[in-house]
Amino acid sequence: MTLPPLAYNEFLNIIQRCTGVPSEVLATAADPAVTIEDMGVDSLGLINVLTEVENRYDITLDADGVQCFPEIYQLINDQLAPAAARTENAVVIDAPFDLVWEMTNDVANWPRLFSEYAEATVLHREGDTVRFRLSLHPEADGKVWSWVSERTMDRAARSVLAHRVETGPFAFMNIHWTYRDAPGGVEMRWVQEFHMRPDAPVDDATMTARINGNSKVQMALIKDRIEQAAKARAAGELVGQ
Amino acid sequence: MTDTQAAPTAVPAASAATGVAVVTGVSALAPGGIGTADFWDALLEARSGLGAVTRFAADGFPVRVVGEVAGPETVPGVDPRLAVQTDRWSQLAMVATDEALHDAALDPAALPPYDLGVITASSSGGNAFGQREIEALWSKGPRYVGPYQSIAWFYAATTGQLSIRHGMKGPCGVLVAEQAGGLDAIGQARRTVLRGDARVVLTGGTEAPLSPYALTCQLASGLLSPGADPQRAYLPFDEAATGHVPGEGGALLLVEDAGQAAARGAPRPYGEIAGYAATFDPPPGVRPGGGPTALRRAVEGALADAGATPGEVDVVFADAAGSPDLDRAESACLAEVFGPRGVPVTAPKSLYGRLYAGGAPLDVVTALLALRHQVIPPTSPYVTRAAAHPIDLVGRARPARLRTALVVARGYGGFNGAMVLRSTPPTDSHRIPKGRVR
Repeated sequence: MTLPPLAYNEFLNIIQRCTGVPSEVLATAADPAVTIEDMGVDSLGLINVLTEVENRYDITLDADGVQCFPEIYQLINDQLAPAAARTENAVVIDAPFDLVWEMTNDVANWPRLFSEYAEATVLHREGDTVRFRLSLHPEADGKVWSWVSERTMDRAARSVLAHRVETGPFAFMNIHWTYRDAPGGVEMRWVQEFHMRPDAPVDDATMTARINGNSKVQMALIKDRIEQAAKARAAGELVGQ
Repeated sequence: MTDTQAAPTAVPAASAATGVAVVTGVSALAPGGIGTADFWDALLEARSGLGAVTRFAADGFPVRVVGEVAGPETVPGVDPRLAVQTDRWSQLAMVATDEALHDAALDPAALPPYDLGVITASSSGGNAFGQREIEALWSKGPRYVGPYQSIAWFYAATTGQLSIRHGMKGPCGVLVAEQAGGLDAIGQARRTVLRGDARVVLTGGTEAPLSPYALTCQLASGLLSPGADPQRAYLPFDEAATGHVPGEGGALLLVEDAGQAAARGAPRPYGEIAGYAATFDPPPGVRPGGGPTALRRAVEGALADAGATPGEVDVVFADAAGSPDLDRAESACLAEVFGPRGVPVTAPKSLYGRLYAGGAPLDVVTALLALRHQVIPPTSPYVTRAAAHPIDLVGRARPARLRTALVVARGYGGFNGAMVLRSTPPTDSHRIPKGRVR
């Protein structure tokens, strides 16, 4: 799984803005068999696209010999990937999928599911997308970390994509949660890709260690709380019968 | 010629050449007149295309009235792929070229690429494009200057774009001589055709001189009108003349040998480029001797080149600088050559402004339209000729028998140009249609 910081649609926007190709030509950009020349884009147009991306991400792209835009897109992501730190953690929860999904996606209830969050405020909800503000418990010096994130839930695909809207000390933070049936219950997997800003108080390595450590603690807690809820629900159902 | 007449698109034989350079296609893009038909209507109705600056907040500028063509974005009709890599000035030329090619019924692909040339005029290059990129340079750094800057700003950019777009690989060039440059380009196109270096030359010029940077550059001449009233800001040969109003636009034309044009089945030519001359003023502070002024030498040189006497000229399209000294110099020159009020003089540009490299080509198109329609288009009705100017200034559209026209152009910095245009007699296949021809 990859979460490229340059979304493909945005890549297309850059191509169109920098080369002026009409929409019907732009639509052929994804086909590796269609060369950049086929699209009527000359060498200066290609340079225009490359410098736009290079300036935006402060990277250098070596596009010698590149024939098509999918190769360029790959080059960009290859360049951006090393700039992204990545964490991956998973836990198996002995509970039905419906319960795991509902409890872990009830953002407003997160302060009672996680131990790290003091507050979760839903700011906007539209379809399966929710924007919300999270606040951590105050640190020893009284500082409260707080930020806005947005999550889009796809229950059918058992997948959630999220990213920080207010990135704070992060250059970016993208989060992908997946759920799958596993021996002993439902496996919930968290993948986070991020990069710290140069002026952030901690670097990528420190943040990676911090997220990995905290994820284990939170996942254990969440597993425990959901399994207890599952037991309580099963007992209730028994009593009800 | 007879052996090639059967197939109009066939390559005409070199022996078809007659040694007469004619204009077979014209165009017009001017403030108040988009396209030749609309432009000609605007002139005959004396419709002004001048107005307040709308492109940017011009509050701090000592220039309030300009002549704008269309809106501030990409010129309509330009492929977005070309729009990203070209300045407005080149885009105006592309649109004008399309009209001229259509008018001349010329498909460039039907002729060998090296038989087609492009010779345009430009007096300031890609102003707005260059300003945008230079802003990126000083505000963000060299990495933020787009690669198209390298091909968009410089004087030859328009010629290059037209050459690539229409597969015109023969003699190509650009002339830079401010308002006189347009005549120099057409003169060079004529020379190229008559020498046999190309069969058809796309020529003329456009200008887009209304960006903040471009206007600032023009302020240095001290010749721009500070007037805020569009009707009164540009009044050549008037007591109240205070300078000129800059405008954008111009015209592209197709020049070819009369015989070869007929051989390819071209429509009836608008007229012959019969004579051309260019001169340069003496350096500032140097008083010329007793001889004629450089401007007069240009006018007389063009007449001599055309084998025409002053008496044969039926109308003069004046340079009409709009500044008292320059106006006096021009009216004195015309009075010397043609006699006081010896020839009708008109300045339709007073309706749409001075278009620099685009101005003289548009005057040439106007002169050719006048020859075709047998009408002299008027000077702005707000101009009242000052008594100091001994010329017959045409104040309203004047029907006349017109066979020969003279176009005068002067460029800031000492450039003088003059061109004689002569109507070509219709052949059997090019009868004059009745009524007003478009």
